[in-house]
Amino acid sequence: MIFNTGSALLDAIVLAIVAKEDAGTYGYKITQDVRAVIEISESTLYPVLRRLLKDACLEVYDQETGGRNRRYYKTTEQGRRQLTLYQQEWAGYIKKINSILLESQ
Amino acid sequence: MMNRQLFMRDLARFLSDLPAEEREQALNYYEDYFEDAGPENEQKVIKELGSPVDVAKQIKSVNREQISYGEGSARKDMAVPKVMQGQNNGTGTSNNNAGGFYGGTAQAAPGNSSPQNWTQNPGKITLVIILAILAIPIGLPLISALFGVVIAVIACFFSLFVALFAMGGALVFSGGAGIVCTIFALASGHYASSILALGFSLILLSVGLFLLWLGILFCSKGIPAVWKGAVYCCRSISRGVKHFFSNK
Repeated sequence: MIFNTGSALLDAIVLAIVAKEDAGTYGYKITQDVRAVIEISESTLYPVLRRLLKDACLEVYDQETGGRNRRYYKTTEQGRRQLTLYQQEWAGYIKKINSILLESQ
Repeated sequence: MMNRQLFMRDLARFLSDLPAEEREQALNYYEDYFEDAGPENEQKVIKELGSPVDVAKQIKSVNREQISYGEGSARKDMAVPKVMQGQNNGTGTSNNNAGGFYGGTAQAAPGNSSPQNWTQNPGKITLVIILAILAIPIGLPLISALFGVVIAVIACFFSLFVALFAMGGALVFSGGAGIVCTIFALASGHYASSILALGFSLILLSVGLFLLWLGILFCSKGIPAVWKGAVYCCRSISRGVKHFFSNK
């Protein structure tokens, strides 16, 4: 992709992906899901998750799977509000960009 | 060939300067990651993640609030609006009207406040003034004593240096004079005593030259060293004071 994905957009994407799973989801899956839509290094996701945890947008819990504990990430109430904000911001943003980028022939 | 064990071992090593809890979290995350990717994807994951050094850098970037991405980079503190906890934000569509939608929450976010200068804090200034007044009865004699010691040390060095030159000069002069005298004495035929005197004169000359050499050495090496030491002391004291004041 030729456009940059800034930290806010990455936060928004990760929040949206985690919010899709009611029971929460885990690091590897989040990374795969993000990488299905944008090109990004696998090592970039850990800092994003940490940041969202720090901002209380996500919470974690451990669940046993295959004889080990897997860490799951879930959106919090705060995270869902933040996601709503991101969605509104994004809708406004692409509308403005589209109006200039797509309608100039 | 890099494998999972080596990768994790290296990663642990590069994270050794992090707090234990944070390091554990990061290592657990990547253990999980490898586990979920499965052994068949191990090499692919290692290749994708890059070197353990880079992964460690990424992990530490959380602490510095700065994350660099594959394409370009962005700083977190570029005022990403954050919804505050427990606050209902169902309305509003734009963050362009200042103060309306976010209610100043962006400013309240930690990390946005620049470190406060102590001079801007009236409480701290008052405290420092009170401390300074209280310190006068102890501080004044202490400072004058310190001043006295410094003067004494300088005087000591100076006198040592003057003494070295004076003694060296005197010895060289008397040695030289002795040699001249013995030449006259030899001419008048007092051989034994003349040679004895010549020996003593040479001893005096050599000791004098040694003292002069010592004095010159002292001048060229000792004084700059003392000066440097004094400058270093002053600087570290002032740095300490500055550090004390700039600390919140």
